[in-house]
Amino acid sequence: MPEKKIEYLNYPIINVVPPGKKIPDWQKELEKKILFYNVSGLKECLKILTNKKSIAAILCTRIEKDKKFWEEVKKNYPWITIFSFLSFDQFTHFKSSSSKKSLYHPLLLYSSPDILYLEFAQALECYACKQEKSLLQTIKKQENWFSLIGQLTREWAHEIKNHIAIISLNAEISVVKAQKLSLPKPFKLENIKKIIEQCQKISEVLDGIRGFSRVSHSNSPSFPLTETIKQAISILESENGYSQPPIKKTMPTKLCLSYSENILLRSALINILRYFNQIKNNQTSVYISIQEKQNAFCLKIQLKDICTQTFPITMDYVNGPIKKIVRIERKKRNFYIGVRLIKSLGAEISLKKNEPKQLITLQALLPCINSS
Amino acid sequence: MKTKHILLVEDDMGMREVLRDILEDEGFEITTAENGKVALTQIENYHFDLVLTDLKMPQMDGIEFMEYIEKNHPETKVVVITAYGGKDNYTQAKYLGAFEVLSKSIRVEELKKVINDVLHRKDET
Repeated sequence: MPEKKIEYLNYPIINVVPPGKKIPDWQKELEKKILFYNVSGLKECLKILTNKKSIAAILCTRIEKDKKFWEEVKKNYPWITIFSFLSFDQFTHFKSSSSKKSLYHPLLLYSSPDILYLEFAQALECYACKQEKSLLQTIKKQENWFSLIGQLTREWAHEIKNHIAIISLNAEISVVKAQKLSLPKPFKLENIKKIIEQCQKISEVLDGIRGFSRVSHSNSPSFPLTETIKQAISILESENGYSQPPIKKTMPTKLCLSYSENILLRSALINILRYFNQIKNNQTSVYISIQEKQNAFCLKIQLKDICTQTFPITMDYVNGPIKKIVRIERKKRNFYIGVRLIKSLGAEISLKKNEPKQLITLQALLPCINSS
Repeated sequence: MKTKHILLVEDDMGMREVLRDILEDEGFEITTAENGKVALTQIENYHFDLVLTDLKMPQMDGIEFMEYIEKNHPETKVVVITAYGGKDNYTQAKYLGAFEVLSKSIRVEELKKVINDVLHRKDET
């Protein structure tokens, strides 16, 4: 049975295989884990690039021959990693002479599938990371855009309602006054009454529109940071079934998060605190604090690690490729996934362990989102 | 019986005129102001039995004006008439002592009834 592909590895890599050449053995091996699109020439490669938006990397040979083409590709698709196989001599020469910003990433010819896998996985992860960031930015833009539309609609509805009210009230006065006078028969009061009726209906419609668009730009849905932390804790409580986990909080802050940031941070905290599953035995406590700083806030989580196994505190698991944490134990992996999620919010992370006291301190300096 | 004097604060001229028509027709004496700032000078120079004010106005809005009334003329009764029928405005206006918060889509008869009721309640207090 083929090994299940890790989700982020599903971004395809284009392999430019010149006509008449066979698919290399290493590719057959890696196809179990990585998705490849084989193309026979540059034209076909360009066609895929134009139609498919999720291409993470391209594998090609003879890059120097078609340099102009690849330069164009790099210019138009800067997020794509271009790989090129080099002989040992070329590879050594490349490493010694090439500047940091090269058109392509060199691969040593006849490298083992394992090494190639690592190279490709890194490119794919880098791509996935960029996709994630761009998705977050899109969500933020959409939030701003929708709140702007809401604000505009609200203002328009208000203005229209004002004028409708004037028409309606004037029509009503006319009816009252007309009733007092003896008007000739062709003058139908019913017609004015219909105007009033319709004005009332328009007014109700406008109330409905305003009800939908109550979100103004300045009031865009925001979630107090303290609420996000409480939500995370309460989810963990329900998971473990404990009424009072020993979590101490210092949260004197009015900072707010946007909808997407709220979800992301909550998920991060759940992942981090889930590792400390042992809190269920009341053996250790978790201390969470928030400090407001200029244009930023500092989230500090301190916990005593009572695990018998040594907990690996290394920033490699935070900054390095995600494949590094794939093989570590699930609970520890959760912890690092949580830290990485906080990092994806744009945080500066510091992770320390005080060995004698077994205290793990995670400090995240996050840019200020907004304050209520 | 002495004619009741009402200060009508509304920035929209059309609305101001129609409300003035309705209330004058009911026998009230009406003084108008186009925003809270103008209304401030009126309230300092004349006695009003009731203030009928809009909320959203340029220069000084209804809420600011009501805060001033609450502080300096707590005996003056206020009725708010607004197109913003939101709960927030309702609560804020009520908190600042508004007797009633009316929607601009109110019918003439209802408006007259509310104003008379509030003035009547005022006489009782």
